[in-house]
Formats: sequence, structure tokens, C-alpha cells
Amino acid sequence: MSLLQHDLPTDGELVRRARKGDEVAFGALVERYQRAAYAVALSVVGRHEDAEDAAQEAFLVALDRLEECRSPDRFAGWLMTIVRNRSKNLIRRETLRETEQVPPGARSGAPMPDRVTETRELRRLLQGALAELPEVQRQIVLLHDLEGWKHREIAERLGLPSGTVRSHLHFARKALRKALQEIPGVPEILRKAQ
Amino acid sequence: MSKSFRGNMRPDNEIGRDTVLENRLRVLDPMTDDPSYWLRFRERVMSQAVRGLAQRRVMASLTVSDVVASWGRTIVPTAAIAAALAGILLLRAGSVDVAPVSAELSAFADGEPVPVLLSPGASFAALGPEAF
Repeated sequence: MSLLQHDLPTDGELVRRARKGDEVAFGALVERYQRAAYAVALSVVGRHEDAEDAAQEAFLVALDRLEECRSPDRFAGWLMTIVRNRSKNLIRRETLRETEQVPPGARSGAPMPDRVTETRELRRLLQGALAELPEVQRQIVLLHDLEGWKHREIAERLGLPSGTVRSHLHFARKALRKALQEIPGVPEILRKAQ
Repeated sequence: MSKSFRGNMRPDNEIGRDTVLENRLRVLDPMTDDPSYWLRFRERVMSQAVRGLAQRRVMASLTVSDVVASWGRTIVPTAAIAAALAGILLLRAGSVDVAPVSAELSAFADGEPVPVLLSPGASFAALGPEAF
């Protein structure tokens, strides 16, 4: 997402309208940042269900505290801070689900198409590989390579120097490539998935 | 993929895309399994935000005169009742014999002379500066 989208209302405009209870404006903010919020939450909690909860909670907390967003044009960075805090609280409160994340196919016992099984296996392996990275690198690689944010946007929104973001992204990618090649069975799954 | 960190930069100083890794990471997007995932995510957030947004709309619709008027609706009747009560109490107090200050002081000072100024019927015009 580019910072220079002149045809769309800016974050600042949407925040100011949402402060007055404009449902459309708040909905636009949710739509604009739901994926990024999920990616940041996933980078902290590591599991889909918890990332979903943390991201949803973060939007509601943000709505409740919109007056505290001192720079409405920097809403994204402010929101990502809330997402990180909610995600960490989720872990701290030990409300993470106790059950191991079991692939849905295994739960139902029903036979699954090969493609779906491979996708889920790849997801599990990727999450394992991501878990080996430092949290900041997970956030950066997911925001850049999954959500398509530019490194300058990440730097601005996470409050990091641009060079640091580039460096983290480089090392995160390198580590992920290596990890995915080293995990037994991954190259074969990737070959099939592509 | 084997390009160095610097060599992977585009002229605009933006880091180049790694499409292979992007494709692999895409499986982490919940939309992979459920195309309407993000639509439902947004709907869930919005359904929980309805109340907060409604409160904000109410607060935003209130003008300064609304706030003053709402105070007035409470404060004016209360002030009127308080004034009426105070008036009744004053009227009732006026019917009771109240001893003059000099008499009270005489009783308190037990025979000591009362200052001239406080004597009943004392006139400021008749008194010199020493009375003070």
C-alpha cells in the first residue's frame, strides 16, 4: 500500500471522522489495516486463532482510545503498537488456547484433498521457521513479503530506522530460505505447492 | 535469490521483491483457505464496534448550548428551591428575639466595659478616631 494514495481519504481524515462515530470511516480503517494487524499479531503470538483475536481486540481498543492518537496521519504505527501490546498481553495472561494447533484435517479425520493438506503442512512448517526468527524480523518480513508494505512504510510505522528495516528484512529472508530448505520434506512440499 | 543484500536493491533504494518467498508466505494468509475471511473479519470488528461508534455520534452531536441547556434543566430548579428554602429560613429567623452584640459581649466579658463602638445606639459620627 502506498503512502501516496491521493484518491483515497488519508488515515488522518478517516481517524477524525471515526472520532465522531463515522461508521464508514472506521470500517475503511479496519479494511485498510486488518491484514497488517493480523501479520503483526501473528509475528508475536505465532498461531492463527490468537493472532485473529489480538488483531480484532486491537481495533476495538483503538476505537475506544482514538483521542489518544496524537498524530492521526500516523494511525498505522499507533495501531501496530496496540496490536503488539494486545498480542503480548494475550501471551502474558496465559489465555492462549491450551490445545495444540492440530491441522483441521486431522481433527475431522475426513480425507482431504492433497492440495489442501500440502498447504496446511507448508503453513505449519513456515510458522515453525518464522518462530526461529527474532520478533522484529518476523514482523518486518511478514509486513514486507506478505502484506506488501515498503520498507520505508515499515520504518515509519514501526518507528525503526530505514536501514535497520532493510537489514532485518535481508537477514530474515536469508534465514527463512535456509530454514525451509533444511526442514525435511519441505522442498518436496514447496515443489508440489508451486 | 542469491543476490547480496546491497545487490538486491532497486534504484529507488527499495528492497527488491522475493517472489518465491512471497508465494510461500502467502499460505499464512487466512484467505488462502477462506476467500471471504477478511470480509468476515471486518464484519466481526464492525459488529463489536457499533456501540462505541453510536456513543461517539451522540457525543459529537452535542453542541455547547446543548450542554449548557442540560445543566440548566438541573441547576435552575435546584437553585430556585434552594433560594425559596433560604428565604423561608430568613423569615423565620427574623421573628426570633436576638440579643444585640453588646449584650452578648457583656455576658461573655463578665462586667468588663464594652467598647463604645459596640454599644447599642452608638453613632459613628459622634465617635472620634479613638473609638477604633
